[in-house]
Amino acid sequence: MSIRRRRSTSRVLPAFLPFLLLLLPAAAAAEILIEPKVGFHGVFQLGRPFPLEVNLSNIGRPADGVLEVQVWKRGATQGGAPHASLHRQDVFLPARSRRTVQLTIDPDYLSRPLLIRFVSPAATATRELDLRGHFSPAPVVLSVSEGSAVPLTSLGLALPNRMVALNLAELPPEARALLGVSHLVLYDQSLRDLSRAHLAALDDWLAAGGRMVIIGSLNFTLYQEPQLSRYLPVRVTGVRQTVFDPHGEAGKGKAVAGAWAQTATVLRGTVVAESQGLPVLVESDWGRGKVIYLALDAGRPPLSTWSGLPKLLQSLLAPAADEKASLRPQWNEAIFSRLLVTPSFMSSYIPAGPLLVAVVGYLAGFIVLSKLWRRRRIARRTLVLSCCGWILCSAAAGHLFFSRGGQAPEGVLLAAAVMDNAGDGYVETQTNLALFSTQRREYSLAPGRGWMDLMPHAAPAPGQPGQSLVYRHGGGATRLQLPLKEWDFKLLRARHLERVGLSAAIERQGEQLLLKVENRSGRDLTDCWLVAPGTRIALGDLPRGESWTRTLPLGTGGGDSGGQNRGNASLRSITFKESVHDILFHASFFQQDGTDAPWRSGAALFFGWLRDPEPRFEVGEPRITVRNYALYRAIVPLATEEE
Amino acid sequence: MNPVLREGLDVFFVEGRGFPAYFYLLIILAPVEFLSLYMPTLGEQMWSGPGNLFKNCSSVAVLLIAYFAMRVANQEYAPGRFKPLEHWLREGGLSVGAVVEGRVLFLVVNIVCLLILSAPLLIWAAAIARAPLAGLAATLALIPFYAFCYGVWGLVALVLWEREPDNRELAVRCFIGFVVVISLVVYLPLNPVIYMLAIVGQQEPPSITAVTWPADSVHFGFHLMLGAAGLVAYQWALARRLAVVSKNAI
Repeated sequence: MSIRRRRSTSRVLPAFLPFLLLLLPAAAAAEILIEPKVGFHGVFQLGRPFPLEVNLSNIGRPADGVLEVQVWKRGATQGGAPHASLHRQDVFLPARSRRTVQLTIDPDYLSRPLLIRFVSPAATATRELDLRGHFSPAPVVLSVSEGSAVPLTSLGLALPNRMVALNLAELPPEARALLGVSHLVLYDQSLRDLSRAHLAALDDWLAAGGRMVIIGSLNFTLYQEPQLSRYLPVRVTGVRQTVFDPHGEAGKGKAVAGAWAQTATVLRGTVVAESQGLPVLVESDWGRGKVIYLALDAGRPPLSTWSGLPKLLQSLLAPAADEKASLRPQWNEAIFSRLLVTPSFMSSYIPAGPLLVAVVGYLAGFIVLSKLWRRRRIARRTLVLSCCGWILCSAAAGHLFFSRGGQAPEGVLLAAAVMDNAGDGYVETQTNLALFSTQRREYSLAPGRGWMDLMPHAAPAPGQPGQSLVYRHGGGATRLQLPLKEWDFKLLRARHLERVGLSAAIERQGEQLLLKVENRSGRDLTDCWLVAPGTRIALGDLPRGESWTRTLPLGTGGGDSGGQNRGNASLRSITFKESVHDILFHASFFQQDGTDAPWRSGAALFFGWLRDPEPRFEVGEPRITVRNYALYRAIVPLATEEE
Repeated sequence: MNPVLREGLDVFFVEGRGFPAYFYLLIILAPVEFLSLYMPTLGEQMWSGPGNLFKNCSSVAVLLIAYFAMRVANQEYAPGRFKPLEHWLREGGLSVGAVVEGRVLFLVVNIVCLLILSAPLLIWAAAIARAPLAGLAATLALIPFYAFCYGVWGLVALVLWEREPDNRELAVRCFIGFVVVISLVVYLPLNPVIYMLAIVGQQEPPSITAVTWPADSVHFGFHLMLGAAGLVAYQWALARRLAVVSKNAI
């Protein structure tokens, strides 16, 4: 019998061998290889976020795990001990597969290596990466070109920036990842293949201060594609040869005959240079950034061999003039404490009302029982039992009610934003956030679209395990995970760049100020004020969809006219209907250290509160009360008569 | 039932002479609890007042319950309604042990009543402050323990100065005040409030001296000794009193 079984086994085994071989990879242990790519071809600007591409190769059985990147923040240069910040993303790796994960990280302490880990029950892999050889102190210049490239490399050491040539596909889909890039040079490049996320990232990067240099080429039809033409300040119509005379330009020299140039009509911006009636160099603003269009084909002869080309390109890639750092609202615990003890906030997180009712009810129960005892209408035993029952029920019901929050939220998220006019309807929003918890739990905070920065005000306490900041990526969003103890809080700050449809322009016209405000934000702008040297005017509310064009006298001081109060009183004395607005306003305009604000020196200031502003942060939890405040402001330096 | 205990129960619960103690306890503790929600702690984190609600309430509760237990033991409520010791020892024919048992049981009954009445308020405070259940349980266990350890000295004073109510009230307060101050000076964790706050906050009890003894052992050792000494002193005082009564009878 055993011989027969052995024979049958020997027949069956070869038949199933191919299937067994197929199953072999699944049976083998997972083995993960990590291959990171840092920044833009290994280059990034120190102190700015940059892309990190992690290639994960699995040569074993499927692995469902977490990719974790540990970066170090805030070294000795920024003060404070370095602390780890973790970026995590869930990754599933099928058997014998390869997957690329793109993250944006922002280490600012490079003495400790970047640690990349993939952790799963099937396998674990770790890779350390020393970033010190990759950083550049100056912003990076990116060049994207499909075929022939503009000889940017000919600039050599003329520019302090590192120049990197990229493929279009290598552009990161997140604006944050581009913050270390000063210029993006596009030449002979179609943007058709760019995804919506990529285009949105480019928009936001430009609005945040990026500079896009678009160099014309013979393939003018590429420049007529909507993906590229939306950035152009001109409408490209064709191409022709011209004589480029760089007189007075950076590339001084002889005229270049037969240079190929695109013909175009100017749509917006400023024509900086013309050649034979063609707009050769046009610049237009895009939020805080700029789009620079050079109609000349710099990648083809005769211009590509022209000796003045490096200087011309150098002038296009000139760094932006140093902008004054915008007045950052500074928060600390004192401001947060003042906010939280305002009656409107206290009532939202303290179950004072229910407790009062409970206490009064409890005492009232004893008053009733004592009256019953005095009248001696019920038996003593019944009275004792009633008393015990009342105490027991009160204790149990109260505990159940109050341990579930007692109608109080589990947490309060307070977001106070200051929106600075960035032009073109863009605003740069600096938000101070306070997440206050009445429970011990973990919160997950997601910044909305256009976020550039989200980090706590203070570094986590050193030496405490589990105190690292954890950013969880996935599903096209990033969430900051914040474990909080009961009655604990965390202060954070964030920066967004977004289009809100609000614009304010102030212009000096002799002894008058011309104020133009347009509100297409979908929210009313309330409690608006205009403050200029010698002038302080309450303008009232600007409903959504409406606009103002007002001419206001400058520096008259004192007196009332048309319900507008003018005076020389300082900004500090401005008060609002809501006490929370008062606190936030002062925290937004006045430095905590008492130094003078930059707007004081001859600038005009317009501001107003957005009513019920759109939430910029999502906590995904209905039992957390969210309070949003947004102050819109435009600070415009006033030109003097001579200027 | 022990006649001494029955007398106490009749005076306190049938005649209602002891209700003021319970009334005062509730009327003090309830506002303290409510106001604690708005009473900010000092410092920048003043908004976290609700987080300290249970600590505040349990501190006040332990002081009040120990105080009222001591007053009850010292017969400060309805003093004229209780029969003197001489009556129980001579006419009642009770032994010293029976009298001790009756008075101690009456003290225990009162402590339990005080604790039960204040328990809902403490439980609510713990729920609002998200205090752990272990902390709540420890508080509810520690409060009667302290009340007994300190209250038993009210019984001692009652025997020693039975006919001098003013003296005994002063004496027992001075004694308890002295013990509390000495405990603070000698070793901070000896103090019941500080120790209980540390337990509720799940922290090590603080120490201001360079010497750090094991806080739990020292604390409980001290209070067990205090309570036991009170019981021994009470028994000794009663025995002495019996001797005096017997001598007078002869």
